[in-house]
Amino acid sequence: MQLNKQLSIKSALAIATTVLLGAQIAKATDVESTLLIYSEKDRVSAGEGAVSIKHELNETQNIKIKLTFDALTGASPNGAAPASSVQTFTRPSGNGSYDIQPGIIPLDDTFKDSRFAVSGTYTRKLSRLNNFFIGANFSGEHDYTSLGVNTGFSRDFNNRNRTISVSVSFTSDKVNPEGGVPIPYDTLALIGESTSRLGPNATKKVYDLLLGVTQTINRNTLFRANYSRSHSTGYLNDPYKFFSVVENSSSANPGEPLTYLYENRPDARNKNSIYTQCRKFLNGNVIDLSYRFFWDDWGINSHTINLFYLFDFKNNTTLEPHIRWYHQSAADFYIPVQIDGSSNQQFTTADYRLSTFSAVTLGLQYSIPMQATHTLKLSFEYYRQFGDSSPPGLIGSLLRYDMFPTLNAVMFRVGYNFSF
Amino acid sequence: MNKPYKLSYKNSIWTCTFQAMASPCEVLFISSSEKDANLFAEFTFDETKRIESKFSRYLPDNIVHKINSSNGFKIEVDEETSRMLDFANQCYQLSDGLFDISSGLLRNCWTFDGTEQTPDKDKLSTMLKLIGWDKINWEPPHIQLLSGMEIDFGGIGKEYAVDHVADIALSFKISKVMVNFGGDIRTINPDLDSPPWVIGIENPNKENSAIGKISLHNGGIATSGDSKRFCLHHGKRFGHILNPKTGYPIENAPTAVSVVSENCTQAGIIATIAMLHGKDAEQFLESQEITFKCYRD
Amino acid sequence: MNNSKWHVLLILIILLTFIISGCTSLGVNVWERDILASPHMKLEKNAIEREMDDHIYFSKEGSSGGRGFGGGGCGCN
Repeated sequence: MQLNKQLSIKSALAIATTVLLGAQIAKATDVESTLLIYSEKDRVSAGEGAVSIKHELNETQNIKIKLTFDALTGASPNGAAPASSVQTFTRPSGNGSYDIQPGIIPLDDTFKDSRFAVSGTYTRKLSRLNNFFIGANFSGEHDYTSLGVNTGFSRDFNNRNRTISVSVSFTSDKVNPEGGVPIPYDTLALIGESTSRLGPNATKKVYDLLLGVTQTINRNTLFRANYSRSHSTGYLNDPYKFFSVVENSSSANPGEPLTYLYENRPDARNKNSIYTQCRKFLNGNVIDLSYRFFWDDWGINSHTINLFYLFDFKNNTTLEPHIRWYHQSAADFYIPVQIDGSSNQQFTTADYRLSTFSAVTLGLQYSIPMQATHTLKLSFEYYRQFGDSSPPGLIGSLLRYDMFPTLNAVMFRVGYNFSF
Repeated sequence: MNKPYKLSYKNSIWTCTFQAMASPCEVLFISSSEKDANLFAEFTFDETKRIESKFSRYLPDNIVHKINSSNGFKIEVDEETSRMLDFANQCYQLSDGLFDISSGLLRNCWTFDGTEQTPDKDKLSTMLKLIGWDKINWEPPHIQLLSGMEIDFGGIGKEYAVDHVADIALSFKISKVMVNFGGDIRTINPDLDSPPWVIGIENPNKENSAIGKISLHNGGIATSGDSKRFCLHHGKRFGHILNPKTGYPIENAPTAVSVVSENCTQAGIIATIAMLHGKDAEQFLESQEITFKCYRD
Repeated sequence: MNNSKWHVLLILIILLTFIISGCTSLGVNVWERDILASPHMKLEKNAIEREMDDHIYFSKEGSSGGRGFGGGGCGCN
C-alpha cells in the first residue's frame, strides 16, 4: 500500500479511527417515511404512503420492513381509438356503461383501486466480506394479488473497492378482474349481454435475475453496473384493455369503429436491462448520472437517462434538481387500430404504454435537517409523456384526431427520516 | 451490593470511577435519569474490562496470547480484532514503519530504570529478525506471524477503549460525556452553546503541577512519554521509545508529547509518531496543524 | 434475435473490460474513504423515493427494472 502524501497523517488517521470505532455505532433503527400525491391532468389521481423501518439486530444482522399503501382514482385509456360520433363502452363489471364524446381518446373513468403492500428483508454478514439477504413481499388489490420471495449474495473484493452481487427473485401473481378474465380477441360485450370468460382469475409468474458490480473509482467517484433479466410467463394481458376494429377504406366511413376486441399479448416475455450509474463528489456537491438500456422479446427497446445534482449548503440543507429522459420503441404487435377485413395478427395490443413514445421528468427535492438525526424532505416532480399523435396504420377520420394526447402529471412528496 | 466501580452525583454531573488498564479511570457525564446513569456506568466498566482482558498482553488466554503463541500457524481473528489489526496496519503504513505493533520484543533488550545500558548486540540482531509488521501475513480475518514474533496493542488498546465508551454514551441517552483513563481523554458535547469540558493538563515532568487548561467540546487528548522511564547509553539519556528499525531508543526524543485531536485514538497515535520523530517531533506536529504540547528536559 | 445477441455481447464486453481494467489501478485505501463515507455519496440515497418513482414508471411505461428487480406485484401493467 502506498501512502497518499496529499493527505496529512492526521486526516488519514481521522478516517482510520472512524473505521476502527465505526462498527459500534451502527446499532440503530432507521425510519424512512414518505407521502406522495400524484395527479395527471384529466386522468388518474393517486395518493401513496410508505414507511420503511430498518433495524440493526447486531453488528452482523439487520431486518427491514416496508409498508406501502396507495389509493388511485380517475380515468385511464381503454385502448379504443377516437371516433366521429359518441362511443358507448360497457364497464368492466358488465353493469352500466360510459359515453365518450367524438374526437377524444376513450378513457375508462371507473378506475378506483387501493393497494396494500408489505415487504421484509433479512440481511446477514456471513463473514467480513460476504453478505447475504433473503426477503419476501406481498401486495394486494381488490383484483390483484402478488406474492414474491427473493434472495441474494454479495462479496467485497480489492480492499472493499469492488462489490459483486447476485440476486434472484420469484413472484407469483393472480389477477381476478371485475367481470372475469376476458377471452383474447373476444368482442367487447354490450350491456346486459352475457359473454363467456376464460374464468374468474388468471395467474402470472415472474423470475428475476440481477447481477451487479459496484466499484470505487477514486476518492470521489463510485460506479455501478447491473445486468438484469426477467422472465414472465402466464397471463400478461391487461384485462381491461381492448382495441378498435375500424371500417376500411372501401367502406362508407373509413376509420369509424365497428367493434372492439380484447387485446391479446404473448404469454411469455423476456426483459433485459443494463443499468450503469456513476456518483461523483464535486467540490462539496454530488452529481449522479445513470443510464439504462432495456430490451425485450416483444420488440420494445428503451433508453433512460437520469441525472441528479445535489447542492449541499453550509447549514446542511440540500437542494437536488433532477432530470429524467425516457424513450421507448413500440412492441412488435402494437397497432393503434385494426382495420376491418385484415386478419387478426397473432398478437395485438393498442395499449399506449406499448407504443413508441418519450417521457421527461423534471424534479426538485429540498431536504432540511431537523434535530439530531431527523430530516424533512420536500419534493416536486413534473412528468410529461408524449408520443406520435398520428402513428402509421391510421385511415380516414382517424387521421384528424390526436391519437397520443400528451400526458402531464405532477407529484408532490413529503418525506421524513429519522434514526433512534 | 458491592460494585467494582463508584458512581456519584454532584453539581448535576455524574462521576464513575474505577481502576483498569493500569490506570485510574474516570467517566464524567450528564444524564437526566438515574436509571440511565447506572446502566451507562455499569456498561462502561464492563466494556473497559472486556477490552482490557481481550487485548492486554499480560493476560493469558486472550486473542493476543493466542496470536503470540501461534508458532507460525495461521490464526483466525474476530471482527473487532480484525479492525484493530487493520488500524495497526494503517498506522504502520502512515508512519513509514515507525509505529509497529510487533516491536514489543525490544523491551527484552533494554531496562528503563535510569541505569547505564549496554545491550547485547547479538541478542538485539536476533530480536530485529522477529520485528516488523511487514513480516506478518495479515489476510483478514487470518493472521500469521513468524514463529517467535509477538504483537501487542499498547498505544491503541486504551485509547480505543476511551473512544469506544464515549461513543456508546449516545445510545444511553447521554449527550455530554468525558472519559479519562489515566490522562487519555475523549470528550463529547454536541451542544456548542453550552459550556465546554475543561481539562487540566499536568506537566508529565513534575507531578501534580497543572501547566494549563484546555476547553474542549468534542475531541480527544492523549499523552505519550514518561519522564520516569529512561536509560543511559554511553552516558546519554534516552527515553523509553524504541525505534523498531534499529532496535535502539530514539535519539533526542521529547520526554512527553500531548496532542489534542478529534478523538483519543487519533491523538494517541499522533503523539506516539511524534515521539518516534525524535528531534523533529515539533516539526512533525506543526505539519499536522493540531494543538499539541511537546515536553523536553 | 440477432439484435439481442449483439446486446448480450455488449454487456459482457462492458463488464469484462471493467473487471479487468479495475484489477489494480482503481480504488482507494481505507483511510481515503472520508468522502465516500458521507451519506450524500450513498448509491442508494433516497431509496424509498426512488422505489416510489420506479413504481409509477412501471405503471406508465413499457420498461422496468435495472436499478433493482423488474418490479411487479401490481395490476397496473
